[in-house]
Amino acid sequence: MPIAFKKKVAVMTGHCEIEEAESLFTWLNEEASRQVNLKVLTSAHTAVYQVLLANKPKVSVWPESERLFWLTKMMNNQSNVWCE
Amino acid sequence: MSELLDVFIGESRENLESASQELLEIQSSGSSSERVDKIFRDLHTIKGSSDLFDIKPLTRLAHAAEDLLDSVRANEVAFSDDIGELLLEALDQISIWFDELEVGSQDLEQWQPISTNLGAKLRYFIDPDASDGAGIKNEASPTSTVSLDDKFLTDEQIDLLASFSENADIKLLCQVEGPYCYLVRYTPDEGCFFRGEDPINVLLALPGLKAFNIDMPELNHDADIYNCVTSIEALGCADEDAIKQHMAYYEGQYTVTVFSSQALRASCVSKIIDNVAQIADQTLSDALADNNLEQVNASAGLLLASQDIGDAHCDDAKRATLQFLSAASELDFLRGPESSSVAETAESANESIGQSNDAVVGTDDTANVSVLGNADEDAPLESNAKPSDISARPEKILAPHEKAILTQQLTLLNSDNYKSEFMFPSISGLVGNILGETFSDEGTLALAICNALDDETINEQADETLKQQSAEDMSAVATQTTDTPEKAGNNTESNALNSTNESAQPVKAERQAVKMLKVDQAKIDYLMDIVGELTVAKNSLPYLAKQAEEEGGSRKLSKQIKAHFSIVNRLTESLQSAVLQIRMVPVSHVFQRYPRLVRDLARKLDKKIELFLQGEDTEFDKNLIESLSEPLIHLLRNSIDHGIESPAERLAAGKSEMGRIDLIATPLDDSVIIEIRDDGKGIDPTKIKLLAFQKGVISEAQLESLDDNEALQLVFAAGFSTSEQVSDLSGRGVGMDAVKTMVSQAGGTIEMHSEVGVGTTFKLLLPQTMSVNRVMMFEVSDQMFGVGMDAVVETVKVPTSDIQRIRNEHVLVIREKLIPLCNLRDALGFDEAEEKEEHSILVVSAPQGEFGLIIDKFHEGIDVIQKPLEGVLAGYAQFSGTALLGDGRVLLIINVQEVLAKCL
Repeated sequence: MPIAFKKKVAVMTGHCEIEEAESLFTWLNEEASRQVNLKVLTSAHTAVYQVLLANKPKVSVWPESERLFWLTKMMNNQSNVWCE
Repeated sequence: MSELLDVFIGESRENLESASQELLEIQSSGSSSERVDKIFRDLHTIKGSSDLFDIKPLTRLAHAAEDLLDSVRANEVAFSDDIGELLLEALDQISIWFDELEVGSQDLEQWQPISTNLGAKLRYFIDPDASDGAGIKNEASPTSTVSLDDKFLTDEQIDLLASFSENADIKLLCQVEGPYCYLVRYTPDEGCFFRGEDPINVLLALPGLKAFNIDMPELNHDADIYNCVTSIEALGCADEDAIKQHMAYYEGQYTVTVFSSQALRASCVSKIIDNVAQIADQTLSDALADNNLEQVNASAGLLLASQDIGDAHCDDAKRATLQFLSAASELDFLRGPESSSVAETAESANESIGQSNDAVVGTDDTANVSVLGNADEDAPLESNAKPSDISARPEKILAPHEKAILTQQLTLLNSDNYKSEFMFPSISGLVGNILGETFSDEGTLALAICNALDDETINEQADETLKQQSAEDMSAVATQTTDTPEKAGNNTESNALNSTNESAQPVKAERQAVKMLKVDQAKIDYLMDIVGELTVAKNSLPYLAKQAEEEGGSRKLSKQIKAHFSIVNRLTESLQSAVLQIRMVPVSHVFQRYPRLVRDLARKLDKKIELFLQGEDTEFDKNLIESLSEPLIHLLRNSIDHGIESPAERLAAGKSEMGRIDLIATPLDDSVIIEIRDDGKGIDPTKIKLLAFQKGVISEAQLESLDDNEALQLVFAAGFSTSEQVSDLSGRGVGMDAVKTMVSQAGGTIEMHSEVGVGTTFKLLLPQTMSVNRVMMFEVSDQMFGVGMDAVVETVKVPTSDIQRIRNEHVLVIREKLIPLCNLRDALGFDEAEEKEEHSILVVSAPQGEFGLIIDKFHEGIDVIQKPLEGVLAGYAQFSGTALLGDGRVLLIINVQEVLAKCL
């Protein structure tokens, strides 16, 4: 299971497919204080990114993967991201 | 392969062929404007139609060649052999690509560098100075919003960049790699997830991605998470093809704007200078002024590291500038504006400040926006009108945003922290002059700039007074700046020239409209088959007439049928000849490929050879002509490689240096004779004989007995090659043998004459058409057979007593000529006939001479469509084919040569 829903935190692992988007969305919407742990997230479908970027949930751990640097920036309200 | 591509390739090949032919003509007999015109049109057609397909490298190459020809046409560039060679090379390359396209093995990525390389070489001739790639133009594609401007970004592009993010241009410039940059706006459909699309990952995988922006609205709690609401903007460095390839599945959901890195750089210049001025660091400015690259890099890096950058507002821009400068690899371009026109400088300035003044542009509602049509004009200062200001020429007033820019510039110049020594003297002088000193009030300023623009780029027919006035206005500028007006004037002129050329092309293309109807050959073949069937069906009418007379006993009916037959017969024949006519093509179809071949091979071998073509309009069946092409190439190669001597040898032999090969087609009755004549060293029959003997082709006895002519024909024997040294052109030992096989497959014969030191002639005799044969029918043992009418010499009936016997052979003497006889009953395995008083003898000609075939009864001649023997019958060499008779019987057509070989 790429997303493990714990009490307060959803731990996202590896690649999250589009199917995960709905459960993540509902889970996040159930309570505003819920967080996501992106530490070991490597990639995700657009729908999942969409949930993360639109909801901007609190993030307990930022992704380790360098490929997701942009997600970190965008979830921190940076409007555009420059690759470096 | 799509039908369209098929047609395109077919047509373009013709264009290629005619273009290369013209090129060769030019090389041999000098350049003429008509020829250049013709080549230009050909390439133009190829370029135009190739744009229909996703083969950009090909289009670009064709475009480059076309541009070069255009310059030649306009006498800007003199045609030279080098240009000819290069164009031929380009044509070859295009032809190779067509081959690949045809089999579907094209690899556009491999094409790209070839295209760029060749294109650059071609363009080098147009303008040797533009070899740094500035000349490469990209065509606007359906999805790209703005066409490329070589030198500067268009306003639209600048706006796009500005809307991406503040200072996006400089930031992009920091990271730029490759000649092109792109901006993609990708707005996926709501339902795209259901098609398996994954936009963000598509974005992340964009080639050369440098920056992106994902825009997303807030999602309600009850939003449908499977609706895609994302919209994306991306900046990067890659050319349009790469982007289009990447986004191929998302057609319609995205737009791409491509611009050249150079344009980006050029458009950033003033902004960089501006920022440097604002940073106000003495070291950096000095380094820049000295054009000291290392120093600039170092001091910019230092400034960047110290973060000691002025006020917060410009922070971002300055940092980006510093970042760029710290990594810049050359600074020359920063000096560019010195020599560029006022308009261009103004444009750059416009761009630099325009971003921060978007609001002003947007809210000035007195603006009467009337954008001039010439958006990609060199000086894209679109003048918008403010009618109340200037009554004389209301349509050419400064746009509000332009005015805002200039005002801003003025403020900047007057401001305290502006230090003119940071600017390049000419620019500061120029801008200062225009803005600060010459004009004090806004109205005059606007008018003056308008006038300046007006005279140079917009309205050439402006009346004399206005011109004078503007000249006065300009004088202040002109004294300080260099050749600005002239340059702008030239630009306008060349633009005008270009545009007239562009508009002239479609007209020409129209005149070129096809008078020919192109039909798939298969359709003609089908028609031919039907005509064949009709011929057979027609042939049944005489039988019917006979039957009506014999069985129905009605002579009248029989007569009527016969009368009808003659009509149907006539119509069928004309139908047949009409269809045959369609299939007929002039031999030039094949011949025209050869001048090129001869020229290339001759160059390769360092020989001087001229090819003369004769009788190119002789017509030939299309199929036959195609089958002929290869043997002819082979023969030509032979003549070039082995026949014609090297120039030195030729001179030594007292011949002219230039070798000559004649390719002659002459119609002869229903056949065509094709001759290939060279004036080379000829073939030595004794040498041939010896070689043939050495190779075991002939026996010792033959070595003695063969005469010269027979010896020469040995070159056609299997496994014979006279060349002692195998070259890559010919002489693999299969040559002549293969040629002979191919020719005889086409139903023709080949012979050779040669004289040592004088030359060699190959003579091919080929039937003009092979679809319908006239055969003579005869009867043997109550069975019908046919023999090709062309083989029949005469028919005779002779008393048995006239047949003589020499040794074991029957012979007949007709008109004092000895004719060996062959009893077909024997040859075909029938029982011996009972003794007869009189014999019917069909005299036929064979390569060995004339022979008589003893048959039972003669019948009429008939047109048949000969079908080859298939299946189990294919092994019976005595028969060359079958044909269907009118009454449904199958007619076996005998192969005279085989039968004779068996019989004698």
